[in-house]
Parts: sequence; C-alpha cells; structure tokens
Amino acid sequence: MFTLLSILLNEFDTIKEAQNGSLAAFNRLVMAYQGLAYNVAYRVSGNREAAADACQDAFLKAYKSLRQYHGGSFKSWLLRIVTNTCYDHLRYARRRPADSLEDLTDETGEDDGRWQSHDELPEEQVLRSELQDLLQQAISQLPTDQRTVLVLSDVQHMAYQEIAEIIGQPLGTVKSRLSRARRRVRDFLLAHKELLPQQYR
Amino acid sequence: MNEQIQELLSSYIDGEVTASERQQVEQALAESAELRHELASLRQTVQWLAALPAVAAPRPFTLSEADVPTRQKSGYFSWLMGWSRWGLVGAPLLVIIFMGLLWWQQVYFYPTQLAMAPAPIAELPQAKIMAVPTQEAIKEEAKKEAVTEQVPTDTVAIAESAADAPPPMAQKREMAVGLAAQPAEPPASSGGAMPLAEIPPINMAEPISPATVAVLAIPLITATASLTNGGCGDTVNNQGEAIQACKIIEPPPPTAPPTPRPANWTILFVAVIIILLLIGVKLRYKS
Repeated sequence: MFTLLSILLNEFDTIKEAQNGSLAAFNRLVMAYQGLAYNVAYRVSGNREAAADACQDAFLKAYKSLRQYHGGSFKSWLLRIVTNTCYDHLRYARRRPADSLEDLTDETGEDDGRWQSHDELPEEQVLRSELQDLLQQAISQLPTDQRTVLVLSDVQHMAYQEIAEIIGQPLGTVKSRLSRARRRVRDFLLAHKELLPQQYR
Repeated sequence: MNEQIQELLSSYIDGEVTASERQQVEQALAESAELRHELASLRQTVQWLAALPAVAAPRPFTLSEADVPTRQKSGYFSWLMGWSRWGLVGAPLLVIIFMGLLWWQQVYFYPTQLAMAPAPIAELPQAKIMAVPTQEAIKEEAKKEAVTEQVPTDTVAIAESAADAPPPMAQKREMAVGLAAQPAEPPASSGGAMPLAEIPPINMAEPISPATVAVLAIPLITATASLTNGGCGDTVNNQGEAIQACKIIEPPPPTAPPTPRPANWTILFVAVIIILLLIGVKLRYKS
C-alpha cells in the first residue's frame, strides 16, 4: 500500500521515466492502476477473462503510445485506453458469437470466489450474490456508451468532470447518458423482481 | 411527467444541478408523488450499484521485455527517426515531382522564355539581325570618315531609316528602332565586308510561334568590331553602318489558346504536398 502511494505521489517522475523507455517505471504505473483498470474492464465487459485480456492489451497499448500523453490526468488517459480496448473486444466478440457465448454467460449463476472481501463495507451493504449478478446483467444490457458512464460514475465513484475527460465528451453528455443508463438499469431490475431480495420486491 | 425533470433527477441525486434546476426539481417533487417514486427507485438503483464490490485482478498486468521486443528510445530520437522515415521516402519524391512540374511548365507553357535568354552572338542567325546604328558606332564612323553617305546621329534619323523597312508580317508588328531595311539588291559592301550574296536572306515569312513574346536577338555589336574584323557583312549594311539589331514582336494574337496560369499549378502542387503530408501523419498515428 505504501509502495503504491509513493508511486502515485511520484507519478510525474515515473511517467517521465517510462516515457524515456524504462519498462520498470511503466510497470510501477501498471501496479498502481491495474486494480482500477481491471474493475472498470470487468464491469464494462461483464466477463472476467475478457476483462483480463482487455487490460493486458490496454496496458500494452498504453506503453506503446506513452509519448502521446502530454500531461493532465494519467488516470483518465489510461482509463480512456482501457474503455476503448473494451469496446474493441466487445465488437470482436459480437462478430464471433460462437466463441464468446460461453464467456458471456460466466457472470451469472456462478460463484467461483471472484468477489473480493470488503471489510470496509458495512455488512448490510454487501449485496447478495444474486443481486450482484442481476446488477451486472443490467449493466451489460446497456449500450456501451451508457455502460461506461454508469460504471465510472456509480461503480467507481468518479466525478462527472473526470468521466467527461475519460470519454472525451462534454459534461452535458455525461449527465444525459448517466440519467438514461440509471433509468434503464432500474427498469431492468423492476422487470426481474423475482430475482431481487425479498425486501425489495 | 415532465421529461426534463426526469432527466434532472439523476444529476439531482448527485448534487450536480444548478440552484435554479434544484428549485425546479424540488418544486416538481413536491407536486408529484409519481416523481417522488421515480426519484426513490433511482436512488435505490444507485445505492445498489455503488455497493457492487471491487473484484481482484486474476493476474498482474505488468509487461515483460518479451511483450515489448523493441525498446523505445528517448523521446526526441524516436520522434526524429519517425519523421526521418517519412522524409527519406517523401522528400526525394517531392523533389522529383517538383522538378518535373517545373520542366513541364517551361516546355509547354513558356517555351519562349527559353528563347528570351540572351544568346551568344556567334550563335545568332545572321539573317535575323537587323541593323541599327549605335551612337558609339556613329562616333567611330565620324572619326574615320569611312562612310560616304550620311550617318544618322540621333534617334530621329534612326526612325527615318525605319521607314525604309519592309512591311511587317500580318500577324506581327515589328517596332523597328532604327531598322535598316534589307536591300532588295545586293548593296556595295564597304571595306572587307562579306558580299551580301553570301548572306542568308532575312526570311521575314519565317513562321514564329504565335505564343511568342520575345526579343529574338539583341546583339551588341560595336561598329569598331564590325569594321575591323572585315567579315561582318551581316552587321554592316550597305552604308557601312555598325548596327545593332532589335526586333520586338508583339504578344500572341487573341486567337491563341489560353494557357493555364502558373499560379494554378503552384496551388495544385502545394495542395498535393499537403494531402500527402496529412496522409503520412494519419498513417503514422494510426500505426
């Protein structure tokens, strides 16, 4: 934890070092951001393996195009690459539905211990596995542009302005996409009331 | 329910509304139970989404040397190499295209510009040199008193002698300055001048390109040189005058086909270069 904190504090120097060709420096950045990148990729793609592949691909792209980073938020720049790579992978999966059919279903009805324990969350806030799966399904049925905004805002708790930087759209677009996405998720949940916990039906 | 208020509910939950929008939403909420239900359901959805746990990455995504076989050089070096790659291919190509265009323009649109270049006297066709007395020659002649007839001493006299010039061609107007007409019969040559019989006659009907705007020949021949070399019958008329030829032909007739302006081709050329550069930049950043 302390190491990651020191990397983030010295982020500017680390980025400069990586831009000058230091793979070790770039890997320090990877270590600092891989958790966030993977979580975003997982929620956007809805699939564990696809998210891991997209992340690996995204970090490789980021390394190759590191010189195109000219300041600003490195986190936003990196997440932009991650989300765009997720879109590419989703498009590829749609073109080859036979190969990805199994992958697309692995987020439902499966408890392979992928959930991290979150001691910091109150016990009552930890959702049951069924609701988590239902929410992930609700996210996955969104159009990709709305999905990204919803994940960045409601799952990753990012500010509107930061989301606007990541998706490269104005603030108003972020607001409208988020509004539509939330309503669609709400409607999806209402359409699957039987899957909701008893107290929410 | 007002669509605009519904749109604002999402931002209202996050506190991302202006004061007036907040007032608008709260007023609508106070009036509509349906809108309050809408807001509550959205809030619940947001809470559930926010409670989704983070997931652990299945493996580290650090890169190895094998992932990036070509280590990147320093920034400026790489930038330079990247552009030099385009320069190595593009620059010679552009130079070749440019030179070709220039040559093409010269040959097809301005052929007479080549003729306008001052030609060496020795290479000038003798018959095309029209005799004009020069002041220097006149003075020289006056000193030597070698001529029997009157030597024109000023431009008025030169103009008078032009009156003896043969009529100009139909397509051309020759503005003869002190033009000494080619005599119909061989004049008596003075001194050791070449007999005029050996001089190729002036071919006034010689076809000249209608697109020409040229001074065909402006030889500077001094009388001294003419008289002393003894073989300059071409530059010495029957009166023994040292001459200078000047022939001006007017611009092409209006029936001549219009030629493209050079500016058009320059603009076209610059546009092609810009397009090539843009394509290059696009390909570079795409790769």
